[in-house]
Parts: sequence; structure tokens; C-alpha cells
Amino acid sequence: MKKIRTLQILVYITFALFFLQTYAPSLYRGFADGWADSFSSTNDELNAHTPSGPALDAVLQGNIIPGTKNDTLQIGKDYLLRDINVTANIRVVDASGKTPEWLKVCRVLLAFLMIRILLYMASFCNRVIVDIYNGRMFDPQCIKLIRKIGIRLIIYAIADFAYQWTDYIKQTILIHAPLNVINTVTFNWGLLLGAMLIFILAGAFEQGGKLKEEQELTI
Amino acid sequence: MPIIINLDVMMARRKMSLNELSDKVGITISNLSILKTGKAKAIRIETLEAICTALDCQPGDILEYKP
Repeated sequence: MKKIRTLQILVYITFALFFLQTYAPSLYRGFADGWADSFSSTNDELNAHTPSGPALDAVLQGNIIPGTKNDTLQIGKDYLLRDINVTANIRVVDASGKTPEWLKVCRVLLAFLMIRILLYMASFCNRVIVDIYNGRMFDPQCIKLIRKIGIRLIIYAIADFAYQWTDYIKQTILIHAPLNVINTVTFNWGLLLGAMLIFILAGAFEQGGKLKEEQELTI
Repeated sequence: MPIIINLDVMMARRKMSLNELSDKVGITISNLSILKTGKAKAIRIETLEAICTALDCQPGDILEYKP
């Protein structure tokens, strides 16, 4: 029983750490921006043209650095930097006013979907652990749960990909010349591989279940 | 399944109850029931031998193939 509890706690800790790593920086920055904006707006007219609102994490072409030609920059005599990209936290004047409503809705929906999938996966993992320790790992219900984890992992990967695209679309809408945004959207193939491994595991458990049934019905 | 288990027929012929057969063969009544109702997926040679000895019959008297 102690082992089950430890594993269950470990599962929740892992998911919590994943959540913290993925979402906490954005959540904290959103909170900090809101906090700063609430103070600056009450100040005076000095801040009227100061970019405010949520910051955008964008990768820009390096030609904004003085002295750069075709994303190449000579540093002293010894170094030549090529394909320069600048990762920046950009603030745009009236960013929320320029962002289309449909994009905002999409982003909120995708964020909620991803958090919900994470919670589901944590709960399913817990139930699978309990089933394994109670000797019910070959039951069809347990196998179904394992498959559900795999399916949710794929949905999470797709949702994450879509969320990255909404990020990129938002950046292209808000950021104009002289800044050039680079598309860094990538599909998380690691998650897909993980899902495939889970499906293989579910298949092995299914075969194990059949063998167990056969053994039980051998007189 | 085309294999039919005629265990109940043989038991009736030998006028033997399920309890009695269970005692003689050394397998549980529930397992004998599984065998009798045709739910069993496989039968061990040693089980078949024990049943044949207890019922004084041939394996063919218990197992029948009907395509």
C-alpha cells in the first residue's frame, strides 16, 4: 500500500512540475504585467504611449542589431556570427485592442483544453497504478484506461501545436517592420512517440489478459 | 466450438455425482462445471487421464468432434 501511495504522489508531483514548467512562467508574467499596468495607468499621462499589456515571447531576425548585414555580424577580428536570431519579450502599444477576438477565444479554449487533458492524464495514471497493484492490470477496463492516456497524449500534442500557431499568428498581427518574426512552431514528436509506446504497452497487456484467461480456463 | 464435452453423459451412465467425481479426480467442482458446460479453453492430459480413470472410460467417450 505504501508503494502505491508513493507512486501516486510521484505521479502528481511529476504532473505538477510539468505544469509549473510549462504554464507557471506565463501565468506569473501575466500577473506581473497586470499588476504593473494597474499602477502605471493611475499615474499620469507619461505612460500614455508606453507599450503595455501582455508581453509576447517572439524570435526575431537578427537584422535589428546595428552593424548586421544579412543576419551576419562581425565581432572583432576572430568571430563572425551568422543566422542571428533574437529572442525577445516584446511589448506592443494597445496589444489587446489589436488582437482579434476569435484568436483570443481560440487561445483561451486551447489553454483550458490542455490543462484539462493534463488533469485527466494524472487521474488516469493514478487509476492504472491502483489497478496494477491490485492485480487488475489485464482487465479490459485497465487496458482501456491505458489507451485513453495514449489518446490524450496525442490530443495534447495537437493542442500544443495549435496553441503555438495561435502564438505565431498573434505575433504576425502585432509585430511589423522593422521587426521580422521567425516561425518557431514545432510539433512535439516526443509526445507522439510516448503515445505510441503506451499503445504498444496496452496491446501487450491485452495479449497478457487473453493468456491469463486461457490459463484460468485450462482444466 | 465443434468439440463437445460429454462429461455429464458419462457421469450419468456411471451414476456419479459432481462431488464424487471432484473427490476422485482431485479438481474443484467449479473447474468441473467449467469443463462440463464447455467453457474450458484447454484440458490437461493428466486431468483427462484422471477423469478417464475415475469414470472408467476412453477420452473419446468424453470428447466428441462435431463439425
